[in-house]
Amino acid sequence: MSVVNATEVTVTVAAPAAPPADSDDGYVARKRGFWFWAAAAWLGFIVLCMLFSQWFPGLAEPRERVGSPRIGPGADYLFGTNNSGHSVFARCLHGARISIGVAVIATFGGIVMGGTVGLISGYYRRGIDTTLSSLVNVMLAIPGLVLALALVGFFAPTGGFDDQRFLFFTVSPNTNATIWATIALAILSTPSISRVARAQTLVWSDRDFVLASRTLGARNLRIIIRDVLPNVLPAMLSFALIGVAALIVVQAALAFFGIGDVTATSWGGDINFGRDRLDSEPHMVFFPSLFMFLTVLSLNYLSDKFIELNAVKEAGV
Amino acid sequence: MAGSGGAHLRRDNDSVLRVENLTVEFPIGTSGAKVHAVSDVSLDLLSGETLGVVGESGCGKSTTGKAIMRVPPPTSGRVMLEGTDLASLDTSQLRESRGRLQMIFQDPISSLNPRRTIRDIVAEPLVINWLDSFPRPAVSRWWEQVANVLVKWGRDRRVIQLMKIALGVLFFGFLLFVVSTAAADVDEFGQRDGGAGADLGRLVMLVALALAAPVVAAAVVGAAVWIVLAVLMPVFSIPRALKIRRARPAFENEVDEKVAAALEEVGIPPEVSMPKRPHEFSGGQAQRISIARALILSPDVIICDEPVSALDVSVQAQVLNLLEDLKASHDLSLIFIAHDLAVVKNVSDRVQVMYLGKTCEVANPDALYRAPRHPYTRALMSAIPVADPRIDPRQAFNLEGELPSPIAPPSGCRFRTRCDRATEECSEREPVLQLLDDGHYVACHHPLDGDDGGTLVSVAGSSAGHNGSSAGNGSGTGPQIVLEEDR
Repeated sequence: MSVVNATEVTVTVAAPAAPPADSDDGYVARKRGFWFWAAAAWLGFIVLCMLFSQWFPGLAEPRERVGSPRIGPGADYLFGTNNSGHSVFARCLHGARISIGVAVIATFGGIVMGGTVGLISGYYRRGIDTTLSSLVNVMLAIPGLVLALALVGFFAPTGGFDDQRFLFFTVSPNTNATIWATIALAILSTPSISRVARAQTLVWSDRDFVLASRTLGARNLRIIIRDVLPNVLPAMLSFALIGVAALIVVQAALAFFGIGDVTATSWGGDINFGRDRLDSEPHMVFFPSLFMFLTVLSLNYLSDKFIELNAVKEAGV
Repeated sequence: MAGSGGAHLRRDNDSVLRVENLTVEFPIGTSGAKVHAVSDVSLDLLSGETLGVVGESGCGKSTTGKAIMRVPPPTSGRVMLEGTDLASLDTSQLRESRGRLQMIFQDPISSLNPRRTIRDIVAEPLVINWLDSFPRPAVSRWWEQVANVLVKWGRDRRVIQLMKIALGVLFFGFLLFVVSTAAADVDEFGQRDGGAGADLGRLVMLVALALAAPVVAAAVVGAAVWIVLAVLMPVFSIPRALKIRRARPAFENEVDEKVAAALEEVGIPPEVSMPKRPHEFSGGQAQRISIARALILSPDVIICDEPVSALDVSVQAQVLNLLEDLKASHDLSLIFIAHDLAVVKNVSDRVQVMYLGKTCEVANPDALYRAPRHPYTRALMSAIPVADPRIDPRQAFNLEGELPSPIAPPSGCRFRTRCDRATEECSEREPVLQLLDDGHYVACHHPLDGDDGGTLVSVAGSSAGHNGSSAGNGSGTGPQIVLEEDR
């Protein structure tokens, strides 16, 4: 039988060539670049504000009257004061907690729910896919503002003027409303994330390594978690980062429309309060907008970089 | 050709793998049409043997291999691994038996997960087996069973039909109700009363809801039970997770050794390679890693699904030699699926030719390549390039036309639409595999003589005469034909 004729090639395999010098500092620095670090630094600052702004020494309370109303930016009041004589600078820093917190938690909820739905419908296909996809389509058809209004209006009656606490963090006068606004945003972001996850799962679960795992006797759950999820996650995460940026804006829009906790300190709320004086005292709108703009820009830039840096090579040949 | 039957199966019982009447059909949508990917194929594999399976693209050879592995399970037919029918095993037994039956895939890069390290990839079979050795809590098993039952019901044709009808009726009743209400006059209270039409509409809607009610109720109850179990599952899994965590360090050390040994065996340096990812390897190296993964549970049978067709010719030889060596050192039996006839001839002890989901011819490679007896095999053989300038490739037995659709395969012999020897009989009766001479089985009503050899020129010269003599009398073509009745 089976001697391979005339091909007595000795089976020698050279050690695989050294990988590209990932660890080489110059290489990495060139790849990430100045703007990467600038964006990361800004986000780091925002996260610091989010977590610790209430303990910053010397920083005014968001509802503390520091001077007369509507003073322009200057040496006395860095970003000026708003309609009520609160420090705009302090409110920008304090506002990060609600603005970013709501957006990040809602996106995380969206990833968990949307990712689960997308992975299941993309992996099992057929009837399960049809059912889940039509549910997702129904969710896509619900107008976001109406859903948010309904949830917040139904579950969180208005009320409360003193800041409530969650763990160590002061949240807002009506934490309940904030939580329900977050839940509404999470539900709103679920269908789009689920679609991204489903599309990616359809691609990846057709690959031979999934088939190989099945021939090895792996359970579906193991295949989904070990083989499909790691490949789907990068696309889902980079999409979700853009989602965070969008949700900051949406949260601002909700606050602008008075949905959720209107008295909470957030960038969107401050833009809303300052807008009728936009022609004479633009600083009340400008600085919260600037914070929002820089944060969204950094998130978008980082998510682009994230895609770029995480594009694994699939084949070396 | 396109024959059925199991005349070529060896009756002695030392076959490691025995596949009888394997059929794989894929439904197309809900139309009821099916792709007949594999129809009634039988094969067997003796210990230490290599069975080559050849055929053009779309003939079902890969599907056969996958159906033996039960991904997806065959529509019908038996797959016996050392005497046990794989279909009769429950899931845990099946998982155990998978260790004895392994598969290597065509695209080496695609068959390795790009985000896992080589060590994890090669260790995967061990890990799966190891995890299986810890019994799962009852809640998990129930959860799985409930999910299976729900999915089975959801896919049941009758349930789907019932729900469709119910939805249609509901919509009709709603329409009736709305239309008759809209058509009615406003009464003195400012209300519209649709009268009998609206009442009928309500009734129809009620009927529709009553029709759908049992299904909806079952789905809701099932989903509720499933969700409760899904919530309970993590809690009940804690003891098992703790046990696994405690046993893991020792196990990981053991795995490291085994993986290193397996990689060593296939010629991949373990120390350097284990922490790397698949993209850092060439196609040939990746295929070696696949082989290491298949070998690590020391299987009895490996199904090689075109293992070298994605590789460089020079690397092909290395991988084939490696398979040969491993076969000898591990007492393996191989099913070697390929379309490269030269490769199949070199590695196989027996060759099975397939066409459109059916078996054409089974023989040892020397006989098959020297004197193909099936017209399709002859066409395949004459497609092998010959390094002789005097031979005119235009005289080869080129097949006319395209492979017929496997959705509606031709009646009788599936090859008849492209066969120059086809007669009435071929469209009426499906040929069955029959023994021609020593170990040479053919499924054809008008097999070739076999003495005219496989070379281009001589076969080309004599084929005209064959057509005349064989048209009327199938049995006249070969003196040793053992005729078999159709079933």
